[in-house]
Amino acid sequence: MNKINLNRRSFLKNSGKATGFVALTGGAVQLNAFNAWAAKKSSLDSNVAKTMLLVSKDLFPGNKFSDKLYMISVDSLDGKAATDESLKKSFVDGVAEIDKAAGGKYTKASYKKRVTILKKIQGKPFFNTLRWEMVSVFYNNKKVWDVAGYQGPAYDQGGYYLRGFQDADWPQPSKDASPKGWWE
Amino acid sequence: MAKKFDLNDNSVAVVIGSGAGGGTLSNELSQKGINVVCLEAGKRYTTDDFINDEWSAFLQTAWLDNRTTSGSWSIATNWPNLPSWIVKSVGGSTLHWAGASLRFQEHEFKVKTEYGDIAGANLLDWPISLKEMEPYYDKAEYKIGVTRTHGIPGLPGNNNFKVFYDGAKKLGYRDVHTGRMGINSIPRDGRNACLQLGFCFQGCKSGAKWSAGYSEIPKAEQTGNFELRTEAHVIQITHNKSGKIDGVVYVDKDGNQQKQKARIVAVAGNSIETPRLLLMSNSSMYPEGLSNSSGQVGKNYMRHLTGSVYALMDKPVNFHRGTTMAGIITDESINDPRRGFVGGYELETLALGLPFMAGFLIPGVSGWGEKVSNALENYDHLAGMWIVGEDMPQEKNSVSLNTDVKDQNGMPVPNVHFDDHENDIKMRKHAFGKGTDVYKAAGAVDVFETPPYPSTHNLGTCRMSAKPRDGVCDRNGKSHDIANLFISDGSQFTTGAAENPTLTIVSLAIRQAEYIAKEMSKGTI
Ligand SMILES: Cc1cc2nc3c(=O)[nH]c(=O)nc-3n(C[C@H](O)[C@H](O)[C@H](O)COP(=O)(O)OP(=O)(O)OC[C@H]3O[C@@H](n4cnc5c(N)ncnc54)[C@H](O)[C@@H]3O)c2cc1C
Ligand code: SF4
Repeated sequence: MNKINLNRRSFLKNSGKATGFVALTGGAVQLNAFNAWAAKKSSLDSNVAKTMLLVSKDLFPGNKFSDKLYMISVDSLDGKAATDESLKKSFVDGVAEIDKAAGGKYTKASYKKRVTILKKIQGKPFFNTLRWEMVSVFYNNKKVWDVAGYQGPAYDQGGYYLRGFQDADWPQPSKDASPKGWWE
Repeated sequence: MAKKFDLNDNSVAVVIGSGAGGGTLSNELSQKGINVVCLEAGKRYTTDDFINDEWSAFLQTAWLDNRTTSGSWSIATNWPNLPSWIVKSVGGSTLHWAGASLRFQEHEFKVKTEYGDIAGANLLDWPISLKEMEPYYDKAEYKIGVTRTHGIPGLPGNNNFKVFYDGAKKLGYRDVHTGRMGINSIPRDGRNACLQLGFCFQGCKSGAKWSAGYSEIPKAEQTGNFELRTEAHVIQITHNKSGKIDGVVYVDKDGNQQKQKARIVAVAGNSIETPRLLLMSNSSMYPEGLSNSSGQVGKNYMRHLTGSVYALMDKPVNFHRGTTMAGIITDESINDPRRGFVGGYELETLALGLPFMAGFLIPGVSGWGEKVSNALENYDHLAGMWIVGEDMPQEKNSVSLNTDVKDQNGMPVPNVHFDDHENDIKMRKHAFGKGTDVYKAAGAVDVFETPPYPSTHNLGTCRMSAKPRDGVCDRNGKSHDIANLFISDGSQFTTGAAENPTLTIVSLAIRQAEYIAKEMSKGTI
């Protein structure tokens, strides 16, 4: 199913390149989910939000996740910032700090450079907030589950016992080791 | 038939906590006609209330009162205010437990004799042997309905188990199967058979998994000798002039303090709250806390070695389908010092959903970057296992009162200090190596050696000992210092063994109930 992806990733790894989730044409990052931002009512200004989107992607770079999905995390943070001035300020300051570290704009820096910057701010509040939002909001989102192949709750469908809990393509263990189910 | 007892009724046995230890003890005592009041800090949930969503379920029922940590363990960095994963609810941590139910091995009851002197380790033989425990293990297995005992069939293995089994067999491991689980493989004891829902850590909605909350407590209520008070957080155990326990003080759900009188008190708040309560109950007669003449209350805190190995496989696995813990390799649980360490470990499959995987694959702030992201993005290709090994009891590993930080009741929070022992580090390294080998043999393309999670197995902080100077309670869990005070949870463990602890906690509670009933009828307590 995802075999190709894995192979492509290991190829990218072996060839020592960045994972290529953003097209670094001419140094400018294409964040295609971003155009809508200016049009909607939001608490964070477009540069801050855009940088936060890229940080989120740099923290958890993906081949299968679209920019639109990453926006789940940024939108959620934007919503929190709307009612929390100090949080909003911490985003503005955090972006200013990484822009400074990039010697210009974080969004214009190379992937390698950006990762170095993130390593430096690892553990600081700005970093922690963005990482935690990815962990607790992004990966907790059904749309993200669908892409990653997590099916979530099964109680309403009667559990997984008739829905593939033994369908992985490995040899079936012996009957002693793994007896038949009660329904068989 | 739920009963109500008067606060001034001093004939009752008060049990603190309704989990594996307290829930079982409450039921066993009330079956024997003894009047019991069980005080539980958490609320009562039914299987309908359980939420099949990892973070929501955790926030619903986990013990989230503030705690602090110190020491060199990775937990102090990664989860500084969450040293353990314990449940605050009727049924305690058996709401979230995975169900692995293993007996300790003979040598694990006498490790001082078997392992000899190990520098830095406070080893001691248990004052009980496996032989004495066997009849109680038998009763506990029957009560819980442990698979592969009493003619109960084993569970069918899920996808995660298939991968694990394949790798294990290729490496030549012999004892590999779907484990002895406290999960119904067939309908039993008024509960359903497992539907392979895969949310065992969140509360089993089908009720297939044994839990003190819905397996023990309702049976106690049917006796008419039992009262459960929920949202009753005990903050002090009190004594009379002669030094005997006469009751407890608790904060009720409205925030008011109540005093319940008692004939005996049994403490089963899990191994952080139990010693904390004894320490907080200090008085002019017992300035170091209750039952602490040995100075061992809160000491020798153990948490099992633990660690996890996750692997990204070359084909889809879908390890989230079915039981959270689905199988075991027991071959490494022997004591073979030629491996460079004493004691042994079990390897048990483990699967987390994507939300927890994101937080737990590499715990803490370093959990980011291409490697972790790649694994999460290919979640359906993951397989995983957990390491449970015997850790060394060390006197410096302890639960103490942090008087600088107060909880919601204004009481000092517990500080949990832990440093790995050299033996622990060597064993973990060995286990990581073996776990990695298993997955490589089964076709892994990437492997993660994941450091410990907040402790689910909290043990040893009021250890049993033959001699009063070596520990807090005797072979029946009775305090060495105070005749009507009992320790009734995993705090009693003299040492930790390689096996998951709950079956032993439940067996000890059954045994203790017998002892208490006998002594009460003799009038000695
Ligand atoms: C995710 C998870 C998976 C696990 N899997 C397994 C497994 O597969 N096999 C296994 O053997 N074990 C497993 N365990 C461990 C097992 O749950 C515990 O060992 C066992 O429940 C401990 O029993 P206990 O009686 O000591 O404490 P608990 O079961 O935790 O019960 C303690 C109770 O006391 C209450 N309490 C505490 N302090 C007070 C107070 N002051 N006043 C009133 N009430 C109080 C708490 O609210 C709680 O309900 C797992 C645990 C977790 C969290
Ligand atoms: S897998 Fe089985 S035991 Fe676990 S929650 Fe589901 S039904 Fe319950």
